[in-house]
Amino acid sequence: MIELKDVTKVYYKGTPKEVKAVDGISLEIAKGEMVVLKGPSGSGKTTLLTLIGCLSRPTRGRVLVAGKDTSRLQEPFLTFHRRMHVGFVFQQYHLIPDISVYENILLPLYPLDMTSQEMEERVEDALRKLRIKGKEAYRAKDLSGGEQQRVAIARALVTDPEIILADEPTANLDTHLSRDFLKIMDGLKEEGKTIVIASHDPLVYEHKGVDRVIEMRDGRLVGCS
Amino acid sequence: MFMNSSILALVLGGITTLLLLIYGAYFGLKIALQWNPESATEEQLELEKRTYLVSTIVNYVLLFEILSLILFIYTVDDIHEIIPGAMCATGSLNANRFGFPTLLVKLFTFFLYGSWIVLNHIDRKAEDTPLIKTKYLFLLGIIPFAVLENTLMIAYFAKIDPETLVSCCGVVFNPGGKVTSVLSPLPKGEMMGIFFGGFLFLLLLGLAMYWRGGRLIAYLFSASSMAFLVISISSIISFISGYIYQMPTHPCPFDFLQREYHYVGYPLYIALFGGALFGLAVGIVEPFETRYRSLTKAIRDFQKKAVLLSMAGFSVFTSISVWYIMRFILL
Amino acid sequence: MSKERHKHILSFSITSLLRRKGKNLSIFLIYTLMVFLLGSVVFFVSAIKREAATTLKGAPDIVVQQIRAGRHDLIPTEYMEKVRTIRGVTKVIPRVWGYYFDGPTQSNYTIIGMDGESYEAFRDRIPFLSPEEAPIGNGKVLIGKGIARSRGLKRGGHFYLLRSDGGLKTFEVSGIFSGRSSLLTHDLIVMSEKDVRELFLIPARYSIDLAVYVRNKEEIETIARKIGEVLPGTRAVIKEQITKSYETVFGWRSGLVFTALLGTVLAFAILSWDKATGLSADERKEIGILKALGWRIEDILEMKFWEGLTISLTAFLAGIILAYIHIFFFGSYLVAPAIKGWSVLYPPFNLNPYMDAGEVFMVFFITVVPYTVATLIPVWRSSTIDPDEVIRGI
Ligand SMILES: Nc1ncnc2c1ncn2[C@@H]1O[C@H](COP(=O)(O)OP(=O)(O)OP(=O)(O)O)[C@@H](O)[C@H]1O
Ligand SMILES: [Mg+2]
Repeated sequence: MIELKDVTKVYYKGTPKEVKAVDGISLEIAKGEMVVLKGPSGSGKTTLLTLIGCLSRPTRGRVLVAGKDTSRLQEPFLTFHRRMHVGFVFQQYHLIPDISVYENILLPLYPLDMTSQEMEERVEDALRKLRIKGKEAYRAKDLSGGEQQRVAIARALVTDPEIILADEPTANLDTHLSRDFLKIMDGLKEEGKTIVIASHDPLVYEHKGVDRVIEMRDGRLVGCS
Repeated sequence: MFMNSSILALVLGGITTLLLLIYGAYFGLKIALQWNPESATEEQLELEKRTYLVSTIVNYVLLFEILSLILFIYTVDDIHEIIPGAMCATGSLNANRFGFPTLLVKLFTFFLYGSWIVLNHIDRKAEDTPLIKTKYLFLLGIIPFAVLENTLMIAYFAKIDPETLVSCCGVVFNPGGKVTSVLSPLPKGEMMGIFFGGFLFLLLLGLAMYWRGGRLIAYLFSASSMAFLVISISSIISFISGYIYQMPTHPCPFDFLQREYHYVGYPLYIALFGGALFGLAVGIVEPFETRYRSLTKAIRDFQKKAVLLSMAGFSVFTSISVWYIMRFILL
Repeated sequence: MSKERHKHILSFSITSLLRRKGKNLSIFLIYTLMVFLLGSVVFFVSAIKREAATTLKGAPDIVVQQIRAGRHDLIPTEYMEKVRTIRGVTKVIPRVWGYYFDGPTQSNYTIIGMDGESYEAFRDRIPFLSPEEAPIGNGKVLIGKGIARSRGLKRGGHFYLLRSDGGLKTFEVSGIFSGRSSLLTHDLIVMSEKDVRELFLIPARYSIDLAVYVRNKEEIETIARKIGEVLPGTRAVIKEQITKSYETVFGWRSGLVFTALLGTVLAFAILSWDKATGLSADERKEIGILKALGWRIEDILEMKFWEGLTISLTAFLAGIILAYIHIFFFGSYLVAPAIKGWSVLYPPFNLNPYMDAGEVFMVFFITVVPYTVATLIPVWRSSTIDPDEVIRGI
């Protein structure tokens, strides 16, 4: 499902500030796998996720996502590929605070050329799945952290992607809510989704549903278990 | 020199548009020279973003060109009041030798911008954007015409002399008049034959293009739709306008843009020029159909759509004309 | 390319405009104000042009009308003798004229009858009548360009008018007023007095009114009062003299619009640029989120296009409507003083509501184009914001 071949991502290339955020990583993730990327702050986890998630392109190397080489795709095609295959749950949720939960979940569907009815059904499905029915009229900023995260997950799922990426999903949650989150991930894994989570929370990488933990340091892979 | 607020708007609008276009073409040139899809450097990413700037600019330039055409016709019609002998836009355009050339070059640049947008639209469909150099060099080639357009327009307004008598549509377009020999060389009956014959021929060709396609038919359709544009304008002068005014001796191609005729000229000309532009587009994209594999499908799909739109435009134009003819005959 | 996507992006743009009321309201108000000002000037100038035309058409110093049952009626022609004896009156001309509504072209013609002396006077008042114009009489008439145009008439052509009793009367065009006088003569037909009487069935001893010309303009009011005394049952109407010609009107029209234009449009464009460039952190982040969620650059551009269009159209409509109300129902309070100072031409009468599509379009062109150009580059800039940068919360 996901394949990285000798991938490097350099920021500020050719300047004194140059950073190798990801440095020569090769990696393969199969369909239906749940993988955790672990490593200290600044080790390149988020960068790797953005590469897998078609949010950015590698400086060198090849990234294959859902059977397509995305490393040299121009923006419209890269984005197109992303919205067909990838759902992203961001570290700070990144909901739009002033609009309703319902509209937040609708956002990824707007450019997709669906009928309003189809969109409605999709959002209803996502609301049901994440048990946030009844909250859809609330503004995003009026929700608790746990609820906000469920909205963010609902938004990632609404396009029905095969790949789910989550960046530090439990950083702002208590243990109870973190377990909740992992339960949701387990459910998605059962549906056959491929899941990649960047996290240095033991609760996450010691979770029994996780198939593999990949450790990173300074942009390189240092261990795999 | 003659000046009023719409002339001022036209000239300033024209210069602004031109500067915008030059700004866009400058980045176009940069893209054409530095484009390297294999590189993931900041520069390449920046160039990719710039392509959106350029296409946004050209889209708006086309829009402004259309608006400015409308305003130009309105202005020219408006100022006939100060030009002795002028009874409508025709007379005003005749006020000096820059009038009609301005209009022609304006129409020509309309087709240039339209063609560029078509190329860009097609190119965007392929991941390797194979036309990237072609289209930006083409954009550079449009600039001289945009400059010419504005120069002619300014010269036209600057040289208007409210003291000189001009000849108007009655003289210009009537048999024996100046433009007659070029635009309506034939008597009405024959002109009607050519018009309706041409329309049917174009429809058949369009259907063939839609169902079968093929290089020859594509070029033929494209050329025919441009020819039909010319035929249509001659027909407007020769007989269509007469039916609209219910006055067979009144051959003006501008008057029916006015309020008195319920602005019918706008749908008429928009349909006609829309049809012609889409017709032209069929041929513009044809050479790339086989040259670039990644574009083949996009071009075929586009041509089918363009042929339909072109036929629709011409049909609307012909239908409105026929409606006026029927009204005249039946009432 | 179905339409669904455009619909959804449009509706999102509108809600996002409404969410940022503060920022958008200010640009909306200034936009509206600019359209209002330019619209007012354009409407006012063109209205004055039309009014001046109507008034100039045959404006004597004083017009004497017969009043019967509180209404304007035919006046006995012999009354002119009594007026002529009043000191200071140079000339009295009994006039036969009228309005003729032409059904097929939905237009109103002004028909004036003239003979000898009055024809001379008319020619004095309309300096642009080209000298070669043919004489009138026996069904031979001079017509305005508007009539020639709408009826497709040329010199030597024939046309019919309906007599007041329903019969047809034939006329021959012996001349068409030249382009420069068109303001005054656009829908005018000049024929002999006899022809007017036949057309409108006016009895021989009566006229429509008496035109009185006065030697000393200062005496107009006194003379008007005297006429009232000499001829009880009549009314003497004084018309403000409009001295300037069409070209003067045109001159200040351009001059005024010119200055108004350059200053405000430029300031407005700079302001729009500034507003569009100064994206708040919130807005940047929002665009970043949308892009991370799968919106492409062109989707963002489309969203911004809808936003711009919504602002432009609403502000434009609001501005035009306000300008229209201001000019035609509120006496042009804001622009009139400026123009009054410029010229003695300021008309004391109410302006007739009228809107010409071309003028409205012109105002559209000079406001929407600068706005669009000024916001184009900032809008493009914001559409290319990198999602991953924003997502990291930099
Ligand atoms: N857009 C960017 N521009 C410049 N440098 C960047 C950018 N994104 C990341 N970096 C740098 O790349 C390196 C890796 O960052 P990244 O965010 O991937 O680490 P991380 O493992 O996710 O860290 P954390 O656990 O703190 O989220 C860091 O040194 C960071 O400063
Ligand atoms: Mg991170």
